[in-house]
Amino acid sequence: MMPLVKSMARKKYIYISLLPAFMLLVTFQYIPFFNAFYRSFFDWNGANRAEFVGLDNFIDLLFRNPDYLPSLGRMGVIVLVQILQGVIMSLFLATLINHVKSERTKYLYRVFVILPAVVPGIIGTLLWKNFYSTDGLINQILVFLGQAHYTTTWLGNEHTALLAILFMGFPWINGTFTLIYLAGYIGINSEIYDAANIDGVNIWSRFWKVEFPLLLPQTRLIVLLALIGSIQNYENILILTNGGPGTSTLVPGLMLFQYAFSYSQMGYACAIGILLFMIIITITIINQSWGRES
Amino acid sequence: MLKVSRKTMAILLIILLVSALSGCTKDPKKQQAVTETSPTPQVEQKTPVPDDLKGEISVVTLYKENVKNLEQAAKDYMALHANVTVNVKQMPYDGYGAWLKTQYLTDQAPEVVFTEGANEFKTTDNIISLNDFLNEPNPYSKSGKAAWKDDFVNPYIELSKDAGGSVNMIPWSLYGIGMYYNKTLFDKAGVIELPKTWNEFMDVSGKLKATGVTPWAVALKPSDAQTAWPLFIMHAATTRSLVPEVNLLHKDNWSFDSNNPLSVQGETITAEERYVAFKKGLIDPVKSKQMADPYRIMKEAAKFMNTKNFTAIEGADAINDFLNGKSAMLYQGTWYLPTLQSKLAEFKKSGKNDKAFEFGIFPFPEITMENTDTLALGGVNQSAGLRNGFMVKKMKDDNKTKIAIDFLKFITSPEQADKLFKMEDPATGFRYITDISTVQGVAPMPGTEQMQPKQQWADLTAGGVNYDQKDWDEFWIQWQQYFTDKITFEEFLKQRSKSNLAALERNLKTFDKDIDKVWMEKQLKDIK
Repeated sequence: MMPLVKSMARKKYIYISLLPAFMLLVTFQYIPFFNAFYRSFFDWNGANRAEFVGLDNFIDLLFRNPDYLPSLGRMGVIVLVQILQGVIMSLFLATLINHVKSERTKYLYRVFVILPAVVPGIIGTLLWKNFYSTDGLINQILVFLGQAHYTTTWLGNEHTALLAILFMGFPWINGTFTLIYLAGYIGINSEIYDAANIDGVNIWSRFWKVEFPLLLPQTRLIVLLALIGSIQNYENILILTNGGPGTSTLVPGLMLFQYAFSYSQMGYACAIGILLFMIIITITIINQSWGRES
Repeated sequence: MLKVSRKTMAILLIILLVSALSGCTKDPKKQQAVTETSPTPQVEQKTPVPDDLKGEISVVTLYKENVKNLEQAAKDYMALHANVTVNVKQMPYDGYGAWLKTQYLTDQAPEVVFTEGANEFKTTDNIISLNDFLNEPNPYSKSGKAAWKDDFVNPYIELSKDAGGSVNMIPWSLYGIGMYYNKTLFDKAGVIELPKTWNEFMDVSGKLKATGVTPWAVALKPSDAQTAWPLFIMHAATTRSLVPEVNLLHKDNWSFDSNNPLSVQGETITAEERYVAFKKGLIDPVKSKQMADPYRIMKEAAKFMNTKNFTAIEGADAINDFLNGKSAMLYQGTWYLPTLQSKLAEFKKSGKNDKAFEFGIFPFPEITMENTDTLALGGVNQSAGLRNGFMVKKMKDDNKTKIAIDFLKFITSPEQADKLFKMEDPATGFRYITDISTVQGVAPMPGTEQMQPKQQWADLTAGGVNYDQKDWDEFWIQWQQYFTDKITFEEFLKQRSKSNLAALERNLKTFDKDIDKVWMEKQLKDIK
């Protein structure tokens, strides 16, 4: 203990300079988290009424609430699709950009890819809401292609609402993920390419046997980011359908928002949040273990 | 002849002049003498306008159309109180509930909020009860009424009370709702007489549909209450006969007179009364025909609505359909009139005369004994009621509370209210506020007379569509499923019953401190 204290005393200025950041982290991240964990055991309206109910909130969510488990299922579908969209399209684009010969052109493509990220996401969501309207772009394209019988109220039909949400953002190019992959490509030693060329590999083999394995760390990171993002994300659904029609697009994140801010059941909302946290942490641990093994 | 000197004459003239001028003084005692024959009871103005107020408050409004009025009110008020600042701001209507909740949670909410519903903020202890303040005199009112509350139109102070009897909002305006209709489309369909009953309404809708137009465009979502408002007025009528059996915790010697709206003044259905009534089956949609029939009746109109997209569009889209002549009717309130008038004027101005249609307003068609045999005690009162008002934040600073209350007394004094309601937008020539004032003596806007909040029968809605926000959200999910034939009527009623019961149980927890548990336990024991 004493050597530790002495070591800390020697480096005291480092610790002092870290203190403000640490205090902010504790105040705005850790305290709210532990408070939410604590409050999840209460029937709390967020203001003046808090009654200890033990595990009642969790039991109600898992066994009595008819909306929670189906919403988890929907969330699973959204997570899977958005991971695939994030990985496949970003990797595809990064591969294309990486193999462009001109550095200047490469740079320009990188700028084009990242530029949409500066536009607030809500604008894109509102645009897509318009596209999906009865007289919107999607239906107009279908009519133009002679497929008027497929036109529908995309967000008002419980059979198509979730599909419409998944399709939103086509062609699903994520600038951040693409840049992560490009950074990964920069890290690949050019000698490996030379060796591959000597072995006479074709483009497909080069990608699958050389590039993709070396980009696994980036893929793991993107999977994790996409997973966390899609589990926590509900803003698009809130704007597009608010969980409807019926409950066909209701997800746990949106349920948390509704219970917290529409129904003033903060304790219940905290329980939803804690369950989501447990799902994320479990998958993260599995992901990290897989990474270590590979 | 008496000789009067010039000096004496001058003195006499001065005395005469002073006597004549003293008739114009603002001395309240003299005022009383002058007006003692007036029909309004006069009370000597004993409460002076406070002159020691000092501080700053914020007033936030949801409504863009009220910003100018409130700014004027603030200006006039600050002219009387040099040391007070009143800041008026507007917040967007969409999502205001969530915004306000987070503001109260972080103690950043404005001192006064001009809003539609205040009761939920009382349950979270964010705002103050106004009962005591309303019993005080209003120093700004010249009506001579003893208490501030006496300047308001009956029974709207009573109607603004929550289940615990607390007035949480100073009422400002009343809404009236009527069926706006496109006269051109009605003429084209050969509709000569406007429908007065539900069956006539179905006939008219059939004629309109035959011409290829959507008779009534709605959005089956919380953003469009066109299909919910008729349920409210129908439930009030069908459950009227249940009121004596539901309102068991009433004042001594109270008796219900369905023909006298004032017979329910001061009465409220409390959380435990509703719960007991539900358990008895009186307001359980599965067991009560009075609760079930309005839902069945409204479903009859589904075939005349925009069935292809009414689960996808928002309320604003339904309104646009009416404006663009795609639908013939729109059930809307007094607040919509200036928008409609200015849009039609725009069409004419830009030469789109084919789009500028003539419109009219008729009261929502009444259900009769032909539609339901539950109308034992009178018919339907048109939808009209309290639209909005001012709520005051619960503050540690008593001075700010004092300023907030004083400002509200000022703005709701008959003279000031009259001035504000009559203010017109110079750009359009229409009034900013088209609603009906809750303050006595303010004339309604021309064109809204059909929407006057006439209460022909006593309404103390024994059972309703929903009992809290979650119940409301669940209602819309179930309503969509029922309207699109995804579930049968019986299944819809079962789901409604389950949602209503859960909401009533949540209300028991919310109003736990105000509930008469002993009474409730006894009633529930008797049921068993």
